[in-house]
Amino acid sequence: MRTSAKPAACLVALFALLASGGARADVLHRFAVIAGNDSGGADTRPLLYASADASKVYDILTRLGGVRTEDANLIIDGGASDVLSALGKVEKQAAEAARHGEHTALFFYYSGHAKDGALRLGESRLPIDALKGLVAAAPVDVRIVILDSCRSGSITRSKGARKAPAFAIESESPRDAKGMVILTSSASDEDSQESDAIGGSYFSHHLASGLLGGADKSGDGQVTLFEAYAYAYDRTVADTAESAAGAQHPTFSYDLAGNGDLVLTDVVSRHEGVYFPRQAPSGVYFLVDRQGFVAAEINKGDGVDRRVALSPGRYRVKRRLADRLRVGEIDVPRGALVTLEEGSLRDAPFSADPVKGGSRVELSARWSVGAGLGFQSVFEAPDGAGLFPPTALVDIDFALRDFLRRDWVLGFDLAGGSANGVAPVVETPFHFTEASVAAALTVEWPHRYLTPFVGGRLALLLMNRTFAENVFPPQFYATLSPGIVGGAAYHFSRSTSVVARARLHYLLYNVDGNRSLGYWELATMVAYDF
Amino acid sequence: MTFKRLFLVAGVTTAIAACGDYSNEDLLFMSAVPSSTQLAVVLPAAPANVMQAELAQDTHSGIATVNSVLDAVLAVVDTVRSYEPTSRSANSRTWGPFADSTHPGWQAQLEVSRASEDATVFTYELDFASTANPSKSVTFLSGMFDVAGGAKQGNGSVTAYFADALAAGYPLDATTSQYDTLMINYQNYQTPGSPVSVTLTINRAIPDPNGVIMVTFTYTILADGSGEITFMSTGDVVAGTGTETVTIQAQWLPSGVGMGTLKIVAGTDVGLTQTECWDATFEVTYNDKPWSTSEDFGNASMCPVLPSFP
Repeated sequence: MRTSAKPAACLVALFALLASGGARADVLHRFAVIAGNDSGGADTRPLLYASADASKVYDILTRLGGVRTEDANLIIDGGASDVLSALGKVEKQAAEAARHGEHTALFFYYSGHAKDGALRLGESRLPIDALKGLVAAAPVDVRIVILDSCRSGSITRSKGARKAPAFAIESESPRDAKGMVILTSSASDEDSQESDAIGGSYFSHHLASGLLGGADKSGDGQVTLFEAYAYAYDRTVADTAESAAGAQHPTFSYDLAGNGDLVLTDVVSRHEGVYFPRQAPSGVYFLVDRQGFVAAEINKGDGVDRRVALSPGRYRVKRRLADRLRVGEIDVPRGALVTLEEGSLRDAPFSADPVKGGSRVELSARWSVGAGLGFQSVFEAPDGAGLFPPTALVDIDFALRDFLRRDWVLGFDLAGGSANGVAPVVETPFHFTEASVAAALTVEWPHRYLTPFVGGRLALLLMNRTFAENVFPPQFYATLSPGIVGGAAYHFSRSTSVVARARLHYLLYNVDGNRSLGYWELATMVAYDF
Repeated sequence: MTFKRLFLVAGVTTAIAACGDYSNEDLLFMSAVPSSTQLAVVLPAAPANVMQAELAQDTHSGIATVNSVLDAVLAVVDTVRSYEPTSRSANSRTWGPFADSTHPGWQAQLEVSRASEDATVFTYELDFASTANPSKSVTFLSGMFDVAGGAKQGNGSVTAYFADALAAGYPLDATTSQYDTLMINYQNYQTPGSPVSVTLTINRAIPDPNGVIMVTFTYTILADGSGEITFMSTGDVVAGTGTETVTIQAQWLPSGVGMGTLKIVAGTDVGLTQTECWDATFEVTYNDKPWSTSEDFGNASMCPVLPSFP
């Protein structure tokens, strides 16, 4: 009996117990260790979406997979020691649960580089055999290992691996299941590929789409391990068949005593997402989130319905026909299952494809605007402070995201402010005003709540000062000022965020002679994403 | 593109894009040359419908002379200095040559220099030249300013060469064309909170109708607007006795309330002194005129309490 389970988790478990069908939702106490790392060390090229894939899987497992957040460990860009630490923590938790008579399961997911028989987490390495041994030794009943990395199939090569669609397994009570299942994104001699168009690796993308409901072949609202694998396999092979790197074949290793299939996600209980009715046309539907990522890719068959348990938000929908696209938008409110009406979609040419083969601009480019207050101070230097006094600024920022490249932000900003100062030597008060217009190119790393960013900026500074009682004529200075910018945005709603930002700029002053001055700026602002 | 080349391009672009006249050094050089308003004497004007006190009238007249001659000399400096310096070096700033808009066919150039970056003494010259022959210039103004006492303590001198300018063909007005030179000595220049003391001497090339060839004005302006001026005047002060030479000293408060003293120093009744006080409308409140007692008025208690002037 799990006395510490939260009400939502209890409801999921209760629902799972009551649900009918060949593969019942189990009452396993589920633990998860989910790791993603874009970096694989010095001799590898950085991945683009490994961390994002891990975050996506974490979100699905905690939202739909019956894994309580306190039992889930998400490690983004962490090292091998972080993974080992998380496994150690889960072992203790699982042992405690077992002492209470609970049936337990461990999900281990990794997205990132693997090379020479080891997972490459940044500069650290975790030998795959060691990982396998650790998971195998964990005090849990069921172990599910999912590796999305190059040549990950090597882990399954020795035993029970199949490079083929899932096979049917007679289901018994999942409580009786014991053992290990391993899914890998590619065979032992294959690379695992990422796609800019879908914003993730093919395998994790299709696995996630399947877990969200796309793989629910039985239509019972629950996605089992085998359904998810079969879906991911089919879609990954299909998508990569024509790629330059060649087809990518996920593998599957099964070693479960009791032969019980496992329900991985329950897409019914939350009653939240998009519902594709039976009469909706068949085909592959893409649901693109506001950041331009393909949140789900659903292959809907003829005469069957599908539900996709997307999180609340606004999504762009696309279905590809032979001669055109059908596109539209759909809002998923919190706690609502929204039916996608074919009538809400409109025809669009292939050039307007928001996903594959279409313009990247249309895929995800979006504007945001922000306004806030800042403070600027010229570094102490000969005449530096007396020339340009510390100044409070009002900032207005415009940002175009994902226009040049995903997660690249082209920014334009205007700022103005004024301050009073005293000219040194002549000790005359003056009033200083400044206006600036600037362009910036930053790279950001979007996370669920926090998005850090860093980049470069080029500002045109227009500065003027007038003297008390006009004892001296006004003075003016204009210069281009290159600099760097960094900060973070905290998203407190889907469209609104608070941004904290710092800038460090070079300022060439050349009136009295060439002087390299610099200045720093701090600002905070509220930004709104359109 | 290598990083080195990238930085080079960025640096060149920045340098090309940087421009302006925002300079503390310029201010230092500018401050060496006084503006007309910095040395001007400010005394509120009398209302039009008021019979001014006799010495108040004399004071206004003397101040008008001072301000007009300052304007004639320094207004052109103000104009030239309102532009960005044409050239800068470590120890000099040059403005111009710029066309003299009030005198077509002439151009002006102002150069302010110092001996070294540590020097406290600045010297300057304002030259005029005909645009027809720009290489032949005439020095109209020269001066110096010493900031040895710091930004709040300085003293300087200015000399204007009217006769030289006139001889070079520079068009002067009817008044200044009769002058030879103007010499100004001043201290604590443009210093809020500190008094400005000025001695201004006009040397005439042509004597005035009373034969006066040199006039000196000495004045002090306090930060609050109180002031004192002393000057000499010649005329028929004691009616019907011929020409007398007198010194007039006037002091006033910012409101205009003041007191004047006239002392006969040459001519009839040498040594006699007239004392007169006036209110904010410059109407007499007290008059003690020994050589014309019928004009005596009020009593001395009506006179203002004035600050002490250095």
